[in-house]
Amino acid sequence: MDARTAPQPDSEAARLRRARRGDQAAFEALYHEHARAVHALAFRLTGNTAEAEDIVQETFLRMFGFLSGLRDDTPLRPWLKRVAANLAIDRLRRQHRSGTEAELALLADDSHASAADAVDAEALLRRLPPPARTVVWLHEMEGWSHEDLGRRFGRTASWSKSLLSRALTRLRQDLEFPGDASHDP
Amino acid sequence: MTREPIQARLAALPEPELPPALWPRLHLARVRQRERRKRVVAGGLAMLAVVALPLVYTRLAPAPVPAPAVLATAPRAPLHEEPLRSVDRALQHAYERGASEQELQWLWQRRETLAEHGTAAAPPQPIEI
Repeated sequence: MDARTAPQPDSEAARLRRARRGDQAAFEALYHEHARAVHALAFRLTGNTAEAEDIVQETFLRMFGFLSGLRDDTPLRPWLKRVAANLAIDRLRRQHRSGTEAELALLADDSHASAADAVDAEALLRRLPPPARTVVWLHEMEGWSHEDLGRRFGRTASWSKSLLSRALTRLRQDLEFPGDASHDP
Repeated sequence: MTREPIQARLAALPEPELPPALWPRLHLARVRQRERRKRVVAGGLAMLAVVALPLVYTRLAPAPVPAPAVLATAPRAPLHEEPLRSVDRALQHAYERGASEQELQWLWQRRETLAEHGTAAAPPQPIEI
């Protein structure tokens, strides 16, 4: 084997190769290496423990089924997170078939976070409508472009921009003026 | 508040704990997935075999060999040759032993019949008086 391409025995590439050959321990090692990050992302996007677990399971099943198509020389985690995010968006699209106006209107409701919620950014995030929460997290934390977001949601890049802008405004208001409804636009 | 503090707040969120029961659940789902795939593959192969078997059989089975030209065209011996010889021998024997005219006539009649029709039924046997 070429020394330049030979993976280190404990590297991810080596585990991937062993997993391709049906090595159960390699499968388990890959899972334990990445599952926590995938689960965290799924939980941020769905805000629901059961749904997050379903997404993690489906993501790793897809990985196991697609092992031969995964490249050894590229890190596995971005691929796993992409699959998990796509699964979360697909679920959202099935669950929320409302239009853009309805989604934006949800962001402009009068209910604001309490002072206690404002301390907990996670609670604030969960208060956002699911599509807005997903767009905020994927754009701000995972680096998705508006084009990618719009395409995945079956919308446009400007839809994603508009939703993100309103969601961030809402988050800022809740963080700065918790419990105050007078600052609505 | 600018975007950075929001990003910082989001980035600072603690990662939720991974449920320990998730791996056994995933492992079980994977075993089921593999079994399902094996069944699908086995079913596909069985279906392929059913479809391909007649085709393979017709290609592998030896084609009926035509009869060699020599055999096909060789003149066959007349079926009545042996009985005719037998009658000839009987006639010769009958003349040697001085058989009756009636017996000789019957043998000649029998020979003519055989010469004409091959295996035709023999005429009624003469009755010795």
